[in-house]
Amino acid sequence: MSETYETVLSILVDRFKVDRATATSDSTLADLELDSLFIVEFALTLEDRFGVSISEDALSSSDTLFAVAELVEQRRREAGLAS
Amino acid sequence: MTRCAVLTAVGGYLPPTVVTNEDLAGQLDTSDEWIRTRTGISRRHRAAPGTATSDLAAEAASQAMRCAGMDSVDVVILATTTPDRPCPATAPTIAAKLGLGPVAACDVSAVCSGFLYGLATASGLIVADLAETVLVIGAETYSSLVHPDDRSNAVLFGDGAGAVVLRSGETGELGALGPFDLGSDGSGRDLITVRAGGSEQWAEEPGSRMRDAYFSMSGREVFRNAVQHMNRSARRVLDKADLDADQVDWLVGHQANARILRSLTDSLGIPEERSISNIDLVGNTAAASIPLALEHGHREGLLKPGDLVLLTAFGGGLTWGSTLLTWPALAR
Repeated sequence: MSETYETVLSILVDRFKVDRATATSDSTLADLELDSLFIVEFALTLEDRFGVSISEDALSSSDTLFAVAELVEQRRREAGLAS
Repeated sequence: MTRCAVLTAVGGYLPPTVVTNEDLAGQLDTSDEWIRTRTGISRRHRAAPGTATSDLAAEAASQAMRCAGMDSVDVVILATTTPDRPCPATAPTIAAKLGLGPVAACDVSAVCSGFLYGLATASGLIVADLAETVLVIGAETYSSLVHPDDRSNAVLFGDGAGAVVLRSGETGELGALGPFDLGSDGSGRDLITVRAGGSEQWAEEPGSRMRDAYFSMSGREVFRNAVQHMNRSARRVLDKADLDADQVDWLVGHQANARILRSLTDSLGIPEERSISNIDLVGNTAAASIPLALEHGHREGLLKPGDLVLLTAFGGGLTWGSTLLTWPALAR
């Protein structure tokens, strides 16, 4: 989980200009000021990076970074990409 | 070597009035920072009242004809969402304005993919030996379609026109176009639409033909569909040509939104610096966006003879299309 969480955080920092110092595992996407279009872009980026399918409907602005990393892990397990 | 269409000239025209983000911030509840971070656009051009799509198209086409050193063509094809009138087509008007005589002329309607559909149509006419030369124009006056108070679309769209001249040639020579990939999904027609003015509304409610006369777009759904369909279409065209994305020198994607273009380069595995983009200067010009980006790449000296260029577009319909092109040696 921690490696996935770190990658999710890095995507937000590198691509969405989120301040690493203020983002925690409890921060929600709304806290990080990701609006609905950014969430679509974020979902597409997660798909590219992790090789899994994540529709934007699977993410909401109230999701925490911990929940996003958990979702990615779950999708990786379903796709047989992680144990 | 087999007969194919060869690109032999490019031209572009932007109406002189520039609308900056600051201008829009004064009229709408928005800001330069909001528009830039969400769209990558800093300015767009607006046609003055009294200027129609055919006026923009004729300017771009004249420039392309000069670039080609030609004063006649066999066919004129216009890709547009904003024809001068619902009836007739605008291409004959352009041909008349250019003094081209009784040439074949028609419009192609595939919204932002229209220029790719126009290129494919022109290429087909040339390959079938029905034409030697075709003028293909993408021209739009979205100012006529977007409600001025519609914040989400008013910041995105700009007016302009781009044009290319195709001639018959042979595969393997500089400028050769193809293969093509085209597709559509009409179940998504409500995602990008103008509901009024067609037979559907007339059939539903005779007498109320001008309701919903403005453009509307569902941003979230369009974002994902645009990235996925351009990615898949571009990959299909590369497969047909037996090429890989890393062999592409330049990606010229529909200039819909800088973030859509960034997601597209990510999913294709093409570095952003090999994507030609002029969206910051012109906004989304719909069917004009690909030829205007080609004209921009040519004028800025980015596109060099022999470069492999991948064109891909997505638009209302839904529609999408892609092709490949080896950049020719053109006069500047």
